[in-house]
Amino acid sequence: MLFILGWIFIILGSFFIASSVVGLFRFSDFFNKIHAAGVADSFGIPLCLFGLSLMQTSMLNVLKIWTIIALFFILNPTSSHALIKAAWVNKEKK
Amino acid sequence: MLLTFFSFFLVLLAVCTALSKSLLRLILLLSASSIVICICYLLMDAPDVAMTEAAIGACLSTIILLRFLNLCYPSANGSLGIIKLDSHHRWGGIYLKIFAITVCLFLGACFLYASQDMPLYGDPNAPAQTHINQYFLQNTKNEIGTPSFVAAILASYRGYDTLGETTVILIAVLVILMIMRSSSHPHQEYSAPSLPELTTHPILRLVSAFIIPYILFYTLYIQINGEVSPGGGFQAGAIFASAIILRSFFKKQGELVHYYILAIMGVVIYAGTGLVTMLMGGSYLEYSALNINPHLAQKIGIMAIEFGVGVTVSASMSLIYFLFKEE
Repeated sequence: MLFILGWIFIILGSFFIASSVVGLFRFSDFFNKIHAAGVADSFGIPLCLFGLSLMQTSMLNVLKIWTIIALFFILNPTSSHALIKAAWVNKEKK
Repeated sequence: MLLTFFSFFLVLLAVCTALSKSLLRLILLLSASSIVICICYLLMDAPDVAMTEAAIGACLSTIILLRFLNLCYPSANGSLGIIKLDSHHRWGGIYLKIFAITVCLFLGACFLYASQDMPLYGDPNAPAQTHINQYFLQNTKNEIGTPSFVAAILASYRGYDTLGETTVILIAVLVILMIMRSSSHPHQEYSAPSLPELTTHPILRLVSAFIIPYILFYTLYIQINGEVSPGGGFQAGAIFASAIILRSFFKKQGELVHYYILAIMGVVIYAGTGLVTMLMGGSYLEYSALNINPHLAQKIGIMAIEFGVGVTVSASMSLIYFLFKEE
């Protein structure tokens, strides 16, 4: 049961990653592109990892994966934010 | 006999290259010498290196150099018959695309045909498993004593290779330095963070303050556990450089000169380990001379050279970032 649930999460996450790749190529503006890239970073990969953690049998591996998910949730929005902020500040200067 | 002939030919090509005045002729001569080196490698039974030389030395770098020549002197090449890769040119556009697709399909078919001769993945009778792998698997435990075979091969069996790789990283940094900075002001400092709005930004500051200690701790773990688990100097150096770069958003991280000195010091530590083993009665980089207990001696040697690698890699990577940031 958990195994099937894990696969569902992984497929959902893969869908978000694929959609973000499409967005990265199709969107015109830099800010739009960052938005598309952020979808994969902050939502697609954590979903995939959560699906993987459901398939694990040992509790240690589950905790390791959840730590990675927490790090992703903290770090990736920050990096997207820093990129957008830098681009915005540069734009205002021009 | 054949090898001697090609080596002689290579020397001849090198003399021609050194004497040549025309840039275009220079590029073609470099490409030709690359092909001759490729044949020499093939004669010396190293087809993998020959393939790399053919792909990168003869093909890729020639194309890049020709393209640069085209960009720098667009008028000079038109009469020499170089095909321009612009899409509005007579040869560009749809014909070029059809040609490229045909070549790709043909090469793909060739690779598919050739891959039928490849051994199955993980086949115990494959040549990759039957020759030197057996030796490493059987003797690493006795000769080196480290749990990680990769570290034993990288740092001990093939210590010369790794010394060369570390030096290549140093040379790459020096070349970037030569390209990016003029020699007139070598002590010019890199500028403080270019966007003052970012340095005082609360989110960035908070998250960096949270993550930098963990990065440093992880660096130490990977560096010290290099011979036990996956990891080692190269990885630890890259991670440490990321911490330095992240911190440089907020605060100036030392002078650039210090990074040069550190990058050179890493290679010096590595090469110095070899000299120490020679002083203690072994040959160059033979760690077993360092101590009576051979396993302990191997451990000391591997840790020393991994430290040198880590210092060089971290200093080089931060230096590359700072140099590019200055531009």
